[in-house]
Amino acid sequence: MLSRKVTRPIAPNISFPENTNDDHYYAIQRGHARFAIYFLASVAFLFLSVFIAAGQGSISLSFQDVFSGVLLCGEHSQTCGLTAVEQQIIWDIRLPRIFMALLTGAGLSITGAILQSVTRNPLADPYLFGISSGAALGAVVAMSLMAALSATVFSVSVVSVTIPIISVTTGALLGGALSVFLMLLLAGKSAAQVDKLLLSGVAVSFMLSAFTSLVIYYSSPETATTLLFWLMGSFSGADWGDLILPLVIISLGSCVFFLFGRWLLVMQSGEESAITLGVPVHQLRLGMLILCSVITAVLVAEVGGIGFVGLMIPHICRLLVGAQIHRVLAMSLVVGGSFMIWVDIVANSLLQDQVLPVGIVTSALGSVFFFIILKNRQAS
Amino acid sequence: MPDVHSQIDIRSLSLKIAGTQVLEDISLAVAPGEFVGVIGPNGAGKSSLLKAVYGFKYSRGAQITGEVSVDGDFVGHYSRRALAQKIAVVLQEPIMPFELSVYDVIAMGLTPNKPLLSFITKDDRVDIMQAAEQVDLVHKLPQSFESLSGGEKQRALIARAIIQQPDILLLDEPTNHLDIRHQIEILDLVRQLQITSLVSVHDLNLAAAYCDRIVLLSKGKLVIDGTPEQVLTPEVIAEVFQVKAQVERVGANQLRVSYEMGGI
Repeated sequence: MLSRKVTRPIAPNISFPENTNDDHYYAIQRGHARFAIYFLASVAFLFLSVFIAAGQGSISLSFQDVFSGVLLCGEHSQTCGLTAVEQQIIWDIRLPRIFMALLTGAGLSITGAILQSVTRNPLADPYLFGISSGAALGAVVAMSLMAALSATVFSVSVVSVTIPIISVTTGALLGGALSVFLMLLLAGKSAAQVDKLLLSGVAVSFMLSAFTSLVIYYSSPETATTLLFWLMGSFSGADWGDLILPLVIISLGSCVFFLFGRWLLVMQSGEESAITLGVPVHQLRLGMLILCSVITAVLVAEVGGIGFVGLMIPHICRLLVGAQIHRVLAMSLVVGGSFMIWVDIVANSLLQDQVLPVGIVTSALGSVFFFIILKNRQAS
Repeated sequence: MPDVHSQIDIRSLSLKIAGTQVLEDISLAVAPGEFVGVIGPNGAGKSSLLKAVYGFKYSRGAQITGEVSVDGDFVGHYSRRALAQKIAVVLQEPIMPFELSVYDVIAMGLTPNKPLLSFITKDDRVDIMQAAEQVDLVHKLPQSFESLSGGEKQRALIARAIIQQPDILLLDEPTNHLDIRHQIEILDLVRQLQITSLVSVHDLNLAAAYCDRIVLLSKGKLVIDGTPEQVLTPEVIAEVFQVKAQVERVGANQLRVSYEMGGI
């Protein structure tokens, strides 16, 4: 069924690309080369960022120290020039935190790229669709419930900490599912139309944010403070175990995104067009929405609310390598990862002896980014 | 049973959307290789007729009756993908929110014939190059689609349709918004492909020059279906378009329609 038909002799006298003098063919090849260069440079920068970030903090370590601490001698090894405490700081505190930042940036960016492409709207991101608000509401409800139910256990036992983490994740997942469900319900029969879907997403987003505020309002002062700080986003406190679920979900999600890349690309030329090219547009969009909400929910459960990344990074990647979806996805993963690592570095070092919530830094950068886009639009 | 000899077979097709009769009892058969033009005033149902052929899914409010079959099987029996392997559709210029290159846009035509998980092979690239050559856009391949002129965009979309290797080509007002030179260019191009084509056209002279057969729609009904000579008569034009027109024969077998202006 899928076998190619015999090529119709549309222009029998022309032979490409054997005609090696053709500049235009090479211009396309240059497009590939350009992507390869940008991608490899971004990967290199990501590695560099990890090492730089591992040296930053209250005890600052030199690049060589980090390098030998991570690469030359493994975890808990005593053979390199670092003290056991320094080893522990790198392996138990900084690296999990850095990788959490990396995963968050990569996950939110690729989610944004997918949402933008299935809705053909360059402003789409997990926040616009209410997915983040839903996940945040679910997580906040779970956290305040746990605080109310097991306040005594929470403060005494260390073992109980593992239970809340699981519950926050399930809460966030349920909240994310709720937001997608509400959005589809609100859009109703017009869910096939992207603009209606987006508008109902915005409506759901505001509604769920209002509920989140309500939950915080009725919480005890200590819980409210915790929730508010959590909502602003942070990578601190991450350990290796926290990384597993986001890593698995983001890897699986990315595989699915790359697999359906050809269809996603076709969708950029318009829904009707995509349908006539044999793409099951509605099913694809629904599937992608659900997958994006799962990724967002898992990340929100781990790190709280971090906005604008899903919107900014795909934009920047498109500027660098063009709108070819596979390229944008690959670049979004890498650039998003490094971006988040640097945001974390900035959030840690901006104020003396104080860590800024990551969400504040990304939102501030996001507004500047919007302003730059606006200026560029006006200029052109 | 659907007619096995015609490539497109439409039988008593009616379409009602929200109480409005969009198409009413239309029957039409298109033979393989035929170039059929659909003409009619605005809102006559030209686009709706094309949509019925490519199996457009209307929302639940729409009532559709009658049968549309392609290559001897009902359109509804085909999967989306199977239908896309048979029919290529050139819609009016799409708006691309992101900057895709002309190459990427033409390559989209590979979608129905390639498995989802596959790379663009050297053969595919040759196909893309040949299609671009066919529409004279090789020099524009690396450029962004949005940077093209209206006529070039239309040509790129036709190249995408060529890559699809369809048996049937549907074009919805491909000459809209184009100047006369580009209108001629586009229709010349489609004609050369020698694929069964159903094309909605506004300009009666162009329809007369390029179509083997013309189908005239008015208010959702098929008024007349025949050769350009049969369809384009002053009486018919006066009745359907409400314009006084003269039709004269130019050269061997070309018609010229001229309109009386200002005096209606």
